[in-house]
Amino acid sequence: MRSVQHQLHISAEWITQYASSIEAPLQVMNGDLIAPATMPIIFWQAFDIPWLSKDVPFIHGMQRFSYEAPIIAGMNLDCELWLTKVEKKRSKQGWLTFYDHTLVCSSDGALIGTAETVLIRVGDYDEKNNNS
Amino acid sequence: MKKTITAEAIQRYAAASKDTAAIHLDVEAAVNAGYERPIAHGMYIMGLAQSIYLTEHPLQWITAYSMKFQKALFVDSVAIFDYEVDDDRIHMTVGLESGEVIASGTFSVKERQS
Repeated sequence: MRSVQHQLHISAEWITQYASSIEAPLQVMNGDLIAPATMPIIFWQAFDIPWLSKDVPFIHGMQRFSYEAPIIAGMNLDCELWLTKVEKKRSKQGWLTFYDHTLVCSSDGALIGTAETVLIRVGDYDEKNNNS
Repeated sequence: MKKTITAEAIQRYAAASKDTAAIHLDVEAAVNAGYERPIAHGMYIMGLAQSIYLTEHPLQWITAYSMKFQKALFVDSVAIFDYEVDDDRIHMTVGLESGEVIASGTFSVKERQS
């Protein structure tokens, strides 16, 4: 398994901008602005992910989020993104390559949430060209 | 609930998410990739599905959420968001007027203290 790590500061502006892009209502819990449940998917923009080529489109196959506590504005998150499995399957469309990921985010050592993501690449491909 | 998935909404999501893959934004790139026109980001659909539900249930927050993406949703399509509430679990389907299912999933909710 390979992984990349990043620390993220969750600002109120970032939450507001993301919420607006998915037409989500802004929610407050105990006086703190909370992030929409799907927001960790845009944390990927902070990572340099060597196993995903930026030149190749991927299809989203499955997504799952699970929370111990909400992500709130002002939080500093320590996040680690793991590539947990790569699997190639033949289909009617030709070869499909499934990339299974797990993102784990904590704050001050306490687990906040995890996200599992399956991305699919359609077509045959040489893995050596995408692992630079 | 029915909602038209506009090119403007996809562009807004692409800017916020920094997922600017051409299949979402450019007709020629989408056609070259085998689609009839640009497709919505799966995560835009998933995000929108939670937003529609929470707008109707503003005192809840989502503690877990999963979705399987089954088909591409083309820009300018009318998507139908259906929810079935089972206590604190909500089963949800995103489909088309033709009956085709685009995505389906489940989320769990809790009441929140504002």
